[in-house]
Formats: sequence, C-alpha cells, structure tokens
Amino acid sequence: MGCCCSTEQENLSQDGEVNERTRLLNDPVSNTYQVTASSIIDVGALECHTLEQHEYIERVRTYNQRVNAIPQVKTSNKRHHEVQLLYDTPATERVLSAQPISLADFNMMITASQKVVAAVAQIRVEHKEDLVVPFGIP
Amino acid sequence: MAEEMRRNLMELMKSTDDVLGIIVTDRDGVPILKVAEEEAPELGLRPTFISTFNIATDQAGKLGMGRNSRMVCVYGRYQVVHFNHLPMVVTVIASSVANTGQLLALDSQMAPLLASLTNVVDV
Repeated sequence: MGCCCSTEQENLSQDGEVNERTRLLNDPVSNTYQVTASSIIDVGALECHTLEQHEYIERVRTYNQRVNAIPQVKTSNKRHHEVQLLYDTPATERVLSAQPISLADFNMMITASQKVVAAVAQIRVEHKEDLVVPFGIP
Repeated sequence: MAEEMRRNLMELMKSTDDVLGIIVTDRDGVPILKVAEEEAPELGLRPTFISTFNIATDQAGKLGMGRNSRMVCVYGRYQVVHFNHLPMVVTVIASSVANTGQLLALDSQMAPLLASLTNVVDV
C-alpha cells in the first residue's frame, strides 16, 4: 500500500482474490479498461462461431414459421411518407361504390375543425402567482 | 405473406441488371428469405461466408467513423454487397460488371420488406 505521493504499484494478490488490499468501490480505471477492450481491434482473437448442423436447421425452421406467421394487416400506424409494402384490399368495387358522405356532414366537419383550431389558438397562460416563492426564511 | 415477400424479392432481383442473388439472413448467416439465380455462386450463399460480414462490420465500426452500414467486396467474377440491418444482414450477389451504385440503392427499395421482418430474428 502506498501513500498519496508513492510511485509504487499496489500489491494485489497473485490469484486476484479479494483480500484486505482490494478496493471497495468500483475502479474508474477498470471502466476505462472495459471501454478500451471493446474498442480494440484484435484480428487474431476474433471468434469464429460455426453453427452446429442441428442448430442451423432449428433456426431455419423457426424463421420460416415466423415469416409465415406475419399477418396481412394494414399498418395504419405508419406515417404517410414512409414507404410500405402494398396490401391487398379485397372487393374494391364494394369500397369504391359505397355512398359518399353527405355535403352537410362534410361542411359540419370543416366548420367544427375550424372552430377547434381557433379555440386552440386562444389558449393562454394566466399569470396568477409568482413562480419563485421564498419560504422558510425568517 | 411469406410467398408475397419472396415474390417481391424475386422481382427486385430480376429487375436489377446482373444481380444473381439476394439473401436476408441473421448475423450468423442463417437464411430468412432467399432468392437466387442458377448462376449464383453457391459458396457465396452459405452461412460460413455470410457470417464473416458480422465480424467485419463489428471491427469496421471501431475505426472511429461510426457504425458500419454497408460493405462492398469485389472479386474476379462477382461482387458482393452487404447491408447491415442488425440483427438482420442483407447480402446481394451480382456479377463483377454490375452497377455497384445501383446495388447500393437496393437498400432503400428493400426497406419496407425489412420493416415487415423486424420481429423474425431475436435481437
């Protein structure tokens, strides 16, 4: 164990076991070491994980099942500018030949939405009290 | 839906000149969707070849320029373009005379297809 000005290295146990000299708190140097270790490019130590045959077959089967299970559902949660796959709409003639909404309903929607926009534009914050209130000061 | 996806990928492959195969895999090269011409090199479609991209893209991301997104490998008779959409990897195999820029543009054309496959691979 060295003093603040000591240049000697700390003597850790040979096996790396916890002893009376082990640091209690996390070593900030070890965090730096971990970051460095993940950033280092060590071509010689690269893992070459070759798949077992049964694992390969199992994964292929799992992926096929999942791909076949993807539903043909219209994703209305996507934004309009995002490109989507085309989905088939069955019986399009029924959709296109349906009665359109009446002119009165359409005008009502336009009027109502204009009123909503005007009302939102008039939202104001009323200043009632001071924001910073001193308290506990004798 | 799977059949339509394969058909979509097949049309994409056939509509792009000199493309011999498009394969969507996980990081270990296990295929999710695959379309290939007969002339496509069989070795290039195997997991042992495609999984090397996973290692290469990890290391390439440590060069101080951010995450590696695409990799182009040109060989004598073929060229291979990898797109990093981890946990998925898209590999496009084409002949060496194919237009590389056009191959790179396939990324945006496949975006909706890949978005549909988001939940297929475990992260």
